Order: sequence, then C-alpha cells, then structure tokens
Amino acid sequence: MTQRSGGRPPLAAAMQPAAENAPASASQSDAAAIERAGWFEREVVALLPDLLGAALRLEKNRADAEDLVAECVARAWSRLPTLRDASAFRGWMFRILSNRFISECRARGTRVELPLEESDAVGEDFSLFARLHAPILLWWNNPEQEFLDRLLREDLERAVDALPECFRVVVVLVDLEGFSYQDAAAALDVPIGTVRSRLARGRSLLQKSLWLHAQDAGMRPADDATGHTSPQSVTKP
Amino acid sequence: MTCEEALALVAALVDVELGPVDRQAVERHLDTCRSCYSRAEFERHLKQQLAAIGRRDVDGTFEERIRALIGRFAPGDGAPHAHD
Repeated sequence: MTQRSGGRPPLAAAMQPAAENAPASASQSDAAAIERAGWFEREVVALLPDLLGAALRLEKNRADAEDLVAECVARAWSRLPTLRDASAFRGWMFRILSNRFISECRARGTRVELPLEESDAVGEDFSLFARLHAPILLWWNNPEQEFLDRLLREDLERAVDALPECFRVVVVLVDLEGFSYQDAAAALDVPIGTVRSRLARGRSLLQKSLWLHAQDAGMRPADDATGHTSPQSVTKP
Repeated sequence: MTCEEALALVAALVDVELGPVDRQAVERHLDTCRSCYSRAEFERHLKQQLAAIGRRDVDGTFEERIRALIGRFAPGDGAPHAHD
C-alpha cells in the first residue's frame, strides 16, 4: 500500500463493538464505548488535514468541503462497527468521503461516470514535459525543473479544480492522497483498469491546463521563433 | 527497451505500481537515456508537488466543530451501542 500512513498503532480492541468483548458488565461496556469514541476522535482529528485537503479539491470551496468532511465523519461513526482493521482506517474514511461526494454529484445531476468511449475521447495524450523539453538547453539548463520551481500551490489547485469530476476524484486519491491504484479502485468501487485510464486522462488534462495557464502568463512554447523555453513566470502577476 | 516502451511505463514507475521485472527494465533504460530520465524526474516532482496540496491546515474552529460533532455521538449515542 502506497498511501500515506498515520503511523499510529492500531487500537483494535478499542474500536471493536462492546458485544465482542463479552462477558462484560454495564460499566465495562460503557468504558469500552468511551475508549472507542476516544480512539475514533483521535484518528479523525489526525486525519483532518488530509480529509480537508481532498475535500477542498473535490468541492472547490471551503464551506462545502468542511460540510463534506463533517458528513464523512458522521457516516464513519455510524458505520464504525463494520471496520474490522484499525490500520485500514485512512482508506476506509476516504472511501466514505469519495462515495459521499459522488452521491452529491449524482444528486446535482453531475455526471461522474463517463462511458469508456466518451472517456477516451476526453483530452489527448498531452505531455507538459514534451512542451518544455528543449534538448539544446539540456546541457546547461533545466527548463522543466525551472517550470516546476515556479509553480505555485494556487496554480496546481486551479488545474485540479478544472478537471471533470470523474477524473478529479481519481487524481485526488492517487496524486494528492497517495493511494495505490488498487486502493483507489476499492475506494471508488471501480475496476483497477478504470483507475489507470481515468488517471492517465486526468493527468493529461491537468498538464494541459498548467501549460495553457503558463502561456497566458507569458511563457512561450519550446517551438517559438528562437526554440528557447524561458519560464519567466508561471503565475500572472 | 526503447524510449517509447519506457515512456509508456514511466507513470506506473513514478506511482510505484510496476512489478520488479518491468521496474528494473525501465530503470536500466533511464540509467542510459538522459531524455527519459528527465521525463521520469519531471513526473516525479510534479506528483510530489500535487501531494503537497493534498493536505490543508485545519483551523481551530473547524477542528472544534468536528470534535463537537463526535462529542454528540459518543459515548452514549452512536452505532456501537446498537450492537451492545
């Protein structure tokens, strides 16, 4: 698993329903419930920066993102007895977050699944590197790295936000949150091949968006009159 | 391995999704091909920068909202008790 790990020890006993710890007195059961709730709160609070980061890119505004995280936490609590492996908590939470977002999209009438042939037609195989790559410069310069160095958080956020939902959710899970293809497929309940194809399309669209923004900001393509790529600025002043 | 074959696997290499045979084949190619090596490094660095926007500082107000939400569930309320 390549997703980011919180590094916290699993507290399997604390998260198990009290019925599994029988026989137990009422006071023992209450103590177990309190311990379970404490464990849940600690795990959730530790995960909030990741959940909010993902939710912001999915919802594209802070108020809706915070509501999405809150709904995710409420659903997670109600389903906590179904979580059998405490070490899977992060992936489980993101599965709930993603599913909630997809349900919202459907309720709004936004299409989050494209037919395969339609998905294939979205965006060509665009490579930002290919646009920046000027072999004549490679011996004394690194235009690709210079471009990346000048990218701002806002540039990346804007490019992610511009992706259609069906691609954005995969890019968020794999690139922003570090999920493996298999874990992203499990979170979205789609085949792993769908994750691969949507990720490739999403990255292509994202790189094209970054490139178009850079051009708007004054960067010239590698095949301009001089053949020289000069990333003076990526963001608009 | 040709450049075309290597570039087809660069994304999976950066995502740590290649099996050992393919990974070694691509890495051998990158060892000797400056252009493909640069492409792989570019994709790796872009992925790192995207990962950085996957986390967002949580202000105290939002954290308190979530703690209060959890406080309303627990311990006397919430699903675990439904299984007691």
